[in-house]
Amino acid sequence: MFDDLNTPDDRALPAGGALPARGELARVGDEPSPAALPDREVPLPGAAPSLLHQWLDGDVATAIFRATPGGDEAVDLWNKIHDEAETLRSRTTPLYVHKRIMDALPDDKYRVDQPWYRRPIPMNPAVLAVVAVVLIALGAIIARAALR
Amino acid sequence: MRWGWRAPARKGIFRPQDGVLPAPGGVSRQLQAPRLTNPAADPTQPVDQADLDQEVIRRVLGGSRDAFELLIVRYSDPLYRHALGMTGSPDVAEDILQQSFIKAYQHLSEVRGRFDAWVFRIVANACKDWLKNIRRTHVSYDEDDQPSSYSTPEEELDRNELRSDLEVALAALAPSLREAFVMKHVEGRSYEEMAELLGTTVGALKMRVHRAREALQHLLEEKYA
Repeated sequence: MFDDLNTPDDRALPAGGALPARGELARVGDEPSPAALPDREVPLPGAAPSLLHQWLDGDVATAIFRATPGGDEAVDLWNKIHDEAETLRSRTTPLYVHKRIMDALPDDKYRVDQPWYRRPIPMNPAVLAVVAVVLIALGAIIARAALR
Repeated sequence: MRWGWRAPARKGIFRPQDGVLPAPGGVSRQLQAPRLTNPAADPTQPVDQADLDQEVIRRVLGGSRDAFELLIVRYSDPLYRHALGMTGSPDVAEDILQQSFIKAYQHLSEVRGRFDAWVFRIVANACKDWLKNIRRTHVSYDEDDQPSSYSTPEEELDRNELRSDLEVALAALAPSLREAFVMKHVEGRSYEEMAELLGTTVGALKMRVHRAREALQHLLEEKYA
C-alpha cells in the first residue's frame, strides 16, 4: 500500500499507476512545507508490516512470498529492478576522473614553508644577471687585493 | 530463493576498489588500495582502514599533495556509484565526485573520525543538493558508452526501457527516500551501516526504504509486473 502522508496534493502520484513524464509530478515524500516532518520510526497508520519488505530484507523466503496474492508479479518486478541495480553496482569510476580531480586540486594548500636556506633558487635571467654581477665584483675585489 | 538483494551484512563502511559484493554475512575490511604501512610485518594481520587513511591524511597535510590520490583511488568507486544512483547521470556523478574530493582536500584538516564516512557525507549532501535544485532535462545512466552486456538487441531494448522507467520512478522520490533506496538496494548496505553514515536511526531508515519501495512498486507494477 502506498503511503502519501507527505504528499498532500493530487500531483503526488498518477492515477492508475501510469508512469508520469519526468518532472511532471511532485516527488514522493516531498515535504508540504519548510517545516519538514520528522522521520517516523513507527509503522504508518493503517499499513500492516508488509511481507514485501520482509522478503526484500531477506527475512522471508521467496516461495512463501510468491504464495501470497500478487506475490508472483511482485517477485518478477523486483527481480527486474534487482538486475538493474546489479548493473549499476558494477560501475566504476572512469580513470580520467582521478586525473581530473588531481589536476583540479590547489597546489599550495598544504605546502610547508621551509627555511630560506633550504628553498630552491629559481633560475631565471634576472637571477643569473645578479649572480654574474656579484661574481665579477668579488673577482675584481680579490684581484685588486692581490695586486697591492 | 531468498531475496535480500544478495546484499551483504557489512560492517565496514566502504569496501574500497570493490565492484563485487562479498558473500552474505561477510565482513570486508580487506584492503586492495596501495599499502602505506609495512605489510611484511604480519601479512595475515588485518590492517585497519581508518589507520591507513589517517596516515595518508598526515602525509597530505605535511605537504604531499600527491598522496591524496591514494584516497581518491580507494574511495572513488563507491562514492561514484552513490552519486550515479542518486543522479542517474554519469556526467553529473563525475562532477559531484570531483567537487566533493576537492572540498575534502581543502578541509582535510577538519576530518574527525573516519575519512570514508566524512567524505561520504560530502558526496551525499552534494547529491541531495543537486536533486533539490536541478531543473532536470533528460538524464540517465545509460547515456554513456558502457559496453552492452545483453545477449540480444531485443533484450537490450527491454532493459533500456526498464532502466529509463526506473530512473523516472526514482526521480519521483524525495531525495531522502531515493538516497535510502540507493544505499540499501544499489549499494547493498545494511541498515546499521546506513544509519552510521547518515547519522540517523535504523528505524527511520527502514521507514524511508519501505516508502521508497512502495512508491516504486506502485509506479512500475502495472507495466512490468
